[in-house]
Amino acid sequence: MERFDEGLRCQDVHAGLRNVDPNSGGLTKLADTQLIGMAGSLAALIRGQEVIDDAQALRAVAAEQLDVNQYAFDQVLDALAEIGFVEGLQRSSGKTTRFTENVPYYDDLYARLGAAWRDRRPSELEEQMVLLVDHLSDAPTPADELASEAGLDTAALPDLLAVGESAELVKRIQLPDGDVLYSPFFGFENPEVIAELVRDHGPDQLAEAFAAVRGEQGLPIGDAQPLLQDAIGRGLLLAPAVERPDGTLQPFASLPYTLDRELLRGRKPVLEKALAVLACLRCGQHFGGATSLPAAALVDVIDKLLDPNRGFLRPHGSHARQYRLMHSAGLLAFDADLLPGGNWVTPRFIDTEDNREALKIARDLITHGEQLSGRVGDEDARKALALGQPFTAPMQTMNRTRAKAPVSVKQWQSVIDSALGRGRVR
Amino acid sequence: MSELDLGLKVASRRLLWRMGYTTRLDVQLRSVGAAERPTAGAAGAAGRSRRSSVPEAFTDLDVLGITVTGGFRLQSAIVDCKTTVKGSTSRMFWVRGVADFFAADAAYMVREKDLSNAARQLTSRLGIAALTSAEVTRLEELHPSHLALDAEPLAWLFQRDKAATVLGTFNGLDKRLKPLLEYREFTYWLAEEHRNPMQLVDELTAVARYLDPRNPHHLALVLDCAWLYLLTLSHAVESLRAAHVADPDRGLQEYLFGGPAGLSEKQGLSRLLEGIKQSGALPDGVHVDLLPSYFPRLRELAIRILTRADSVLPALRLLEFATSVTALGQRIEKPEDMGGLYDDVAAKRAADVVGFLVGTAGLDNGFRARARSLLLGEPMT
Repeated sequence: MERFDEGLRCQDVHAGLRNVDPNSGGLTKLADTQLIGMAGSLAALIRGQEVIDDAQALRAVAAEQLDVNQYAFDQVLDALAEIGFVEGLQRSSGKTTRFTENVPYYDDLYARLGAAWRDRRPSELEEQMVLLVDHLSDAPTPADELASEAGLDTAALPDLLAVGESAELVKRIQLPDGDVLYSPFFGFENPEVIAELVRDHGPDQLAEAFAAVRGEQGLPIGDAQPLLQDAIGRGLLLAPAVERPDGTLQPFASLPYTLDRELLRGRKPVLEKALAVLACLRCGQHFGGATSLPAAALVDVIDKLLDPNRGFLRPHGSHARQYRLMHSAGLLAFDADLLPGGNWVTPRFIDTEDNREALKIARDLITHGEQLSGRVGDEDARKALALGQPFTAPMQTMNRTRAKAPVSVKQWQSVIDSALGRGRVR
Repeated sequence: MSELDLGLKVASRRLLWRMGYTTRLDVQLRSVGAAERPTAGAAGAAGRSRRSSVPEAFTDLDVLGITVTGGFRLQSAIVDCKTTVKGSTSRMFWVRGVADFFAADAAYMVREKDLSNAARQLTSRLGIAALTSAEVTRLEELHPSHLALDAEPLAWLFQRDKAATVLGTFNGLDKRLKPLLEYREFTYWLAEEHRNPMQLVDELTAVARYLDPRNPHHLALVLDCAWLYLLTLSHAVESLRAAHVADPDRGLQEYLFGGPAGLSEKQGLSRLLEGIKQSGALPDGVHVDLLPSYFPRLRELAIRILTRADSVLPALRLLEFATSVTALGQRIEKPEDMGGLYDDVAAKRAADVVGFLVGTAGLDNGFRARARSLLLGEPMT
């Protein structure tokens, strides 16, 4: 697993453990993972605060809102200090009073948390738990195939599942011919259907089909995907439909995975709006004909709508059809054509807090396959530096000089630094 | 440096502080060492090349003021101070030239006594304010400040003897620190601004092993470098705001290499070098990546400055003050002792810059701890 995923899943584990009695003895086995998960949540909360003058007030907020146990608060801060995310911890009578924060704006928060988790030498159980959660974040899996598919230790599996299920990190559906395990962070309408799908189509096909949806949230579903058609038909997958230019209704399947369980319950309308956005945009991408949206432009459309100084899309002959679902969901208003005498509609974003959140969730799902904004608040954090491509042209003249170059590394470095315009003037 | 002039300099510094600037005394401007010129005779060539390789002084700025305007634009003011009145008319033209050379937004000429009528007539045409010592005081009264500028320790900045001590601090340092001292005194001011973010780190790296945090003069030097570095990054942020406020990564890369064309050119060169390295013609240990290894930290720091641009000027002032206090062998026990200067975000920002320099240049960690203690009031561990 990559460090990024490890950091992410530590936070999932922490989110799951919120459901467990904090005095449970079993939790001690997951202490490091839980600590890094808490550290991730707290880091996202304090980023940009610069100086935290009243750490005890923060302690209360963290306990209330993030389930950062108040007795673990100082330990979490120590962990953040080890990573370099906070500095200057001042304590009085054993309580933290003041500190400053350096949580990165641009660098990858989760990769650094993942590395910190590794540095703490997590126990075997913790490693297995993170692997398990990561595996189940991809697709539900039959229990008897879990060990081999996720690379888990068969002997340790019963303990692992006992802890995972008590923490509600793993859900189980019992079947006559074996159980199926899945993650409760999926937005399934009717998880029991998973068992039927496994039975009817086989676990491999299920995993493959789910991976396809995670790979492209808002995947257009057709006859070539019988399992997904079946899953939609039985109410497992959410798949809003949009009218294609030929008048047929096209479903677009999504598989939201979110830590914010309220989005799966009380605030479900927000999630449904996000999926409506995905469906409308994917329709423009796959069925837009000559003026189809390039894949890279989907996020641009969302950004245009989110831009408070713009908030509309230029009129197009297909907009009334393509964005009807977002219009019905209350995300868009259809204004008159911008051109005098024109009869196209101008989709205008209805700027409310819920609508804004829905667009951001849709953007996360397009970009990352799952919601990140609720965890970090800034998807730009994942951007990697795109430096120059490897140079492939033959360098024959340099090859000839290779054996006799009497230049030290230091001398080379000096010349190259000057050539690249770095550092001292020599 | 004339002690008589120094009185006018600190008075001008106080005026600039009242006007909302952060300041620096005696900024030296000089050429870089010239290459040897070809000449006809060998003996003559040797003699001339020795002379021509020594940097020549252009001039110096008595007082430099830097401030940040509402839309985050750095503005500068220069002050020329002389106790004599002689030649003040022709000096006005000189000041105009220096102001243009330095791209200063405002220029002042301060004299101990009355200026000639001719000099005063030139003020509007040349865009220079001409003031006598008494008029500096009068102008100060027109700029009330909430800071306790007349109460120590803040008043140390505006006391002649204290200023002389601080200026002298950097003269008697270890000779091995000379490259850094020369850089902070001369090269920094003449180098293209976009080169300084990397050059200052390299200059500090080169002398890191000779810097001892227990030596207050060394600490003052590092704090002074932090002032320079924050100023440098503020220029970078000014550029980011103008061109790439939503894409600081690209904006910072373009800035560091002098614009999009410069970046593209260096990217091409970097790829070429990478190819050469892959072919085995360069040792594995040679770093041919375009960006320095500390670029992610630099980007984070720049983004922090971009995010809280309002803290730049207070942070610069805190660093200016902390440098002086440290050079005087004093320390501030509590933030309340700073005469109203303390601001927690600004102090954090100033400490961030010191921390960045310590981390990237490989300075002793004691510098970070002492700076945080001085700026944020954290106890020394």
